[in-house]
Amino acid sequence: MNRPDVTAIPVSPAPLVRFTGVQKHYSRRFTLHIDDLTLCRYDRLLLIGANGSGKSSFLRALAGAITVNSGQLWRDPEWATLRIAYAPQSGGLYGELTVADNLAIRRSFYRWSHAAEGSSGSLSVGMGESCVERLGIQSVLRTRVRALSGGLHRLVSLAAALHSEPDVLIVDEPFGDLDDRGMEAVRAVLSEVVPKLTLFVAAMPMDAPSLPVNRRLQMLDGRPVYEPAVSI
Amino acid sequence: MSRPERPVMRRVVETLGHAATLLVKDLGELLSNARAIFLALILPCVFLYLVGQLRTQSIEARVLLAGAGKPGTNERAAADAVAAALAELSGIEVAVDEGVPDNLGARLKEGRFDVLVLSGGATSLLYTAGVDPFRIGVLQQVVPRIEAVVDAARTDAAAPRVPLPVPAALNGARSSLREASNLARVWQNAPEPPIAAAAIPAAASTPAGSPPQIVVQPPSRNESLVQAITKAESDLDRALLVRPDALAWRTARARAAALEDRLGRLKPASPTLLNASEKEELGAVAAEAEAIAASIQYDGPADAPPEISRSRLLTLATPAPSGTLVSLYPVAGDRPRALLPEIAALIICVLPFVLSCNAFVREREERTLDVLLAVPRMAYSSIVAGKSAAAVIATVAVCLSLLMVMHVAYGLFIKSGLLAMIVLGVVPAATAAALLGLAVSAWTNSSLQATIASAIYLLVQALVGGLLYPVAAGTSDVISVLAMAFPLTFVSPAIKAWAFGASPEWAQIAVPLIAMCTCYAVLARVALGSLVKRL
Repeated sequence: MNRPDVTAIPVSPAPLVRFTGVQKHYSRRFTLHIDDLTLCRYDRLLLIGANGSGKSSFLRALAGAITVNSGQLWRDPEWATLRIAYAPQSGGLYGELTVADNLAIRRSFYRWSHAAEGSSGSLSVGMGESCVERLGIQSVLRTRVRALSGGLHRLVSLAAALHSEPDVLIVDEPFGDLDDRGMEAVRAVLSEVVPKLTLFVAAMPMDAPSLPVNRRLQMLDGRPVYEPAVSI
Repeated sequence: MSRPERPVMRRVVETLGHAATLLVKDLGELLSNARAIFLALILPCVFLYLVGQLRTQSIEARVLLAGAGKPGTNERAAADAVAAALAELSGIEVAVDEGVPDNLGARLKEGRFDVLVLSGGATSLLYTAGVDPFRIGVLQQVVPRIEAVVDAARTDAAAPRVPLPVPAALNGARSSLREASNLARVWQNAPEPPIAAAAIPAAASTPAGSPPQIVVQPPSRNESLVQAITKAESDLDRALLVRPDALAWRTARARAAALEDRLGRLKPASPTLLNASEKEELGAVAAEAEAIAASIQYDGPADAPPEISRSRLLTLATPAPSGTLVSLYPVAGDRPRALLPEIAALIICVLPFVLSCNAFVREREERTLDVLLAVPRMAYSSIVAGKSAAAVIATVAVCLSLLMVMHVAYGLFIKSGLLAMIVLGVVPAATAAALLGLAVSAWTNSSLQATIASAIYLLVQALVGGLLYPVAAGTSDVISVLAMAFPLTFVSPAIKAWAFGASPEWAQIAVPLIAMCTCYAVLARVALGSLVKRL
């Protein structure tokens, strides 16, 4: 298997996000229970675990899409200056609009967030437009999202996230619904952008080996089980 | 480490930018396909057109005058006088029975009578077989009026009856009044705009024995005239409009006074309606009215101030009749046309609610709310502002379309004050409705719940806003307070008045609406925060 070239990855021990005693529950059922976890800039973190183990809730809490019931989810002030792109496990696109409209709107949000200061990321991925071609979705740019297949929807969702030139990419199950060709395209794109950004990705165990990560967390009943750092 | 403070301007730019992006996105979704455009923009116009085509059933009371006695007797003569007086009332049909039937109930049921008057009896009795509460309510209001006429006819039986200044034959032409146009058309069809009006109050609102009140409007105050007429539309049955090419206003005042005198002696409990579409008939009426007026010389002070106290929204038939005095009709008799601005106001208040009520639900179902919340520095206020603005813009577009329908199809012309109406009436009302819809949307969990909430909102607003049934003054405090929470309560009378030519005090209407917007904006913001906690 080809391993990505990560020699250019900057090393930054500065904590970016810290979970301390964080709990998230729905109807008394815990979906997330994290005693202590620190994530740093330029981490490439892979979350693996069975269905319902809390991977998606972890990423949603990290992205700021949900709040936690207790504990502290601390974010470094730098977080607010970064382009945080989140591609949820499903959906995340406006079904009545075309693919091109979705890409433009997603990018527009970040343009306003950083309008006054420009891109704060020291290393932008530089894949705004090319991700469309790299992911093979240029033929569906004028198609409404609701008319897309599940696999194409997944690719567009990832493209929308990359289109915003993120500093931090949070991707939930990037290989879901994809055929071999789509999976290969996603692997290639992630491998290309990973040296330039912080990546938090959740995937099934069988997809894990192909992802360019340097940390792994096994989720088990909402709790992270630490795995040793990965040498890539 | 404390978060560095960002300049206020930068935050404002971000908030507005995010809101603008959401606005563009929501409008894009709304206009993205033909069905959405049809449902949101075209269907309301079609609906409004159909409302104008509606012909509502008039409320007519059937009166049985029982125990009238045999023909030729004094008792029968008195009963006939009562019947004749009743027949002059609009919407009253009278049947006379010589005796009182043994099975009175069967007779009432068979004849579908609503009111029983026993000749020589002290009171009338309401015996309606109708089950419609609105009809029963109207009949309850009609019965005292019938009793007043009966009493007047009995007590004045010895006095000579002076014929009304209207040919009796015209009484049968009431139905054609449906074709009458509204006051707005008067301005267009008349060679010159009318300058004076004398309005005769409804007999129901006039204490027995008191003369009817007549209001005269001076020249060169057409706007005030229309406004005065519009504001007190519930009190008057008809008005006399004086054409400028025939009469000076002071003369008109004298003639109105003469009419007042004549009508006062007549105790006119009868709102005689004219078939003004018949030019000859109307001309005869006008001639008769002029003859009355000509016999009176005005001797009041030259600078007598005009009285504008009570008047009513009026209707004039087309073509514009000739003559100096023209009878006008209350537009209340043309209920569908009166409904048009009310329905337009209802659409203006309901559409933004419906559009925004699904906003957060849809974002949740499509998981796009997660993406929105993940955008750095995406303020809740941006989301609320962007989504409500999209609904308001769509509503303003629909409002303009509705006005065009009213203008083209029904002659409720777009007139001056449109900008004030849009800015101070429609926009605040639509914004309040949209913000309330967003709050409800954040509270609901599914599209089904949002749809149910929209339907309930429609019904409650139409009920407390007086669209289904007019809400009487002095209704329960609960209803009064509830009505204050809905924009329709404020914007509907204003749009209605504007549509019929008046100049509402838009500033007074905008203040409560803007206060409502503020409350609902806070509510929507809090509800969104609560929603995010539930995610």
